[in-house]
Amino acid sequence: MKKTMIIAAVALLLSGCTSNKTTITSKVTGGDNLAVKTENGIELTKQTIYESLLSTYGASKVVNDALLKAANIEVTDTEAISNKVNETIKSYTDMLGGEDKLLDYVKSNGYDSLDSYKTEMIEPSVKQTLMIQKYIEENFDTLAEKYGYAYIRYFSVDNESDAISYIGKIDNGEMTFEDAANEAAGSVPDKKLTYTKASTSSVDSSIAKMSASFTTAGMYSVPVALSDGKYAVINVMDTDRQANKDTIVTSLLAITEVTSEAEAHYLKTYQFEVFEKGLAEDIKGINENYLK
Amino acid sequence: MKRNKIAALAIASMLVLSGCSSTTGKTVDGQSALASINGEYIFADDIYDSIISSASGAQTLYQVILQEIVKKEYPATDDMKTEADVMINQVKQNYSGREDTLKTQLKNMGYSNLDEYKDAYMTYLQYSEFMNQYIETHFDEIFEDYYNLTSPRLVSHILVKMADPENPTEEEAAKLKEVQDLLALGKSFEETAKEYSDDGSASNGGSLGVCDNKTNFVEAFKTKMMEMNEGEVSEPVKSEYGYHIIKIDSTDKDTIKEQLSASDSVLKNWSSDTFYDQYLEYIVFNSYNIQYGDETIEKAVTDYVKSALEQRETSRQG
Repeated sequence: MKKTMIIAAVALLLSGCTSNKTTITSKVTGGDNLAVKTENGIELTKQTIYESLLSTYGASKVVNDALLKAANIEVTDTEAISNKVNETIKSYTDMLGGEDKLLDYVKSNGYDSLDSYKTEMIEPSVKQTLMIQKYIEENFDTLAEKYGYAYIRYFSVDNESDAISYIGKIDNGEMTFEDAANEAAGSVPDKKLTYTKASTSSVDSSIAKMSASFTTAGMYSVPVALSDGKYAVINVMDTDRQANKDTIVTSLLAITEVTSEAEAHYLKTYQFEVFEKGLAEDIKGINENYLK
Repeated sequence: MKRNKIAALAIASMLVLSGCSSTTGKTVDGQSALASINGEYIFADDIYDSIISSASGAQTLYQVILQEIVKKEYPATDDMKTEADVMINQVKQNYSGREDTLKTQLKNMGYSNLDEYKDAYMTYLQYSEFMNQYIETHFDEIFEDYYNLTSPRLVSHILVKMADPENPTEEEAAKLKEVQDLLALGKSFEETAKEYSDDGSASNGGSLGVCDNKTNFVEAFKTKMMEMNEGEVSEPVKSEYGYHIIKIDSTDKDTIKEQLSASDSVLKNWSSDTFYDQYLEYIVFNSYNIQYGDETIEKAVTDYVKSALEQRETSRQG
């Protein structure tokens, strides 16, 4: 196992994360200048170093720079940016256990000061996050429906017949959901936000997958077979997505596919174009929708 | 007709010279433009400057220079290619019928396909050669450092395995007593180990070879082993496996050096699980006496290596 990990770590670092072997046509200024020379006669020009850097890091760097340029256009509310930056710094400070610890962390990562860390790292990241958030808010209804956001609560029973029986009794008023939950599971479950990408630590995967079906408040008419073999009796509590917009936007921000969709949208909007063929292939390898 | 043929040849020549690529880059005001967004160009110079001046730039530059040294000093050999082919064939056999699982595993490791993994393995073999050649030519000084740092010794043991060492069965306790009695009566440790030890080292007379303060043993065993002197045999030492009787066969420096001079010893193979110095790469890098023609690169790389060597010193004091 360790040898495999060594291979992965060493080779990823030494050979880069790309399979692109296309000749690099771009040139860096002063590329012919000798940058490094060893006693054994190994000579590396600035161009050689540039080509290695481009092969290994070029794709993510160029995409990041392009997205930041788009974010500089899309996100202009300086107060919102400043608030978010400060909020981020506070959260890091709390996480690390104080300002001194944060400063140690910042310096260990090569930044001279907290200010340079804020300017070079946090602010660009915040602008991109705010840009993605803007996309989510502008496409909220579509995205919330696509991922099936709803608030539910549920309890589970061993047999499908028991689940059907409870659903019937709750529907006809013979029992309340709370009484049924207490009888079947010993307690009343909390309200949970479900959506198709919900974590299995909060919602059973079987329920998450069918989140888009929870369109009407009330008892879900059929039991749902859970991943552990039991059956869920589901009460759909709240399907008003607009009323829960802030929570759902925060959730959507954490979905990788949503971020990618938003990034691809802005890259297309601002006509992102790549002239270096190999670099273009590498960028498509990150996300084929980044380039038309 | 002749004019068309000349034109066709000219076009063909241009295609050959330009690398047959339909994208030959873009130059704007004498600078290579890599991309554009909203009409604003991202230049090669921008990306270069940005990467090397970034917080992770120093490590990046170091890795690039290291990579070039490895590639040029230790190009891929036929033996490396054969070894890589054997490895790939083994992987294919292991995952036969489970190609989707293999694809997922490769993706999780950062590879798109087996060819990429093979390339990475070849790079690893070249890098191993880079490290092992240095170890070979500097073995005396490496051994001195290793000996002073880790207090190695030749160790043997006899294990009496127990299902629950806290509550040995009658049979287990009797076996342990028998072993102790035989040793007390002068039976050789080696013979006793061969007949009674429940460990895989039994066939070797209980020999574990060269062990040191970094060897991956259970704590109780390692602590006792490091306290003992040459020739001593311990009382039974309890571990999760049962009871061990430990013997220190030798702490003699020359004897240990002879053992570790074998080509397959742990001290001759940097990638072994027990190689003692995880920072050796930086020593090897410095041995190339690199001269820099670019101040920015020089400062970034030398500071990075210096910081790594400082961490090496700190870790040795711990």
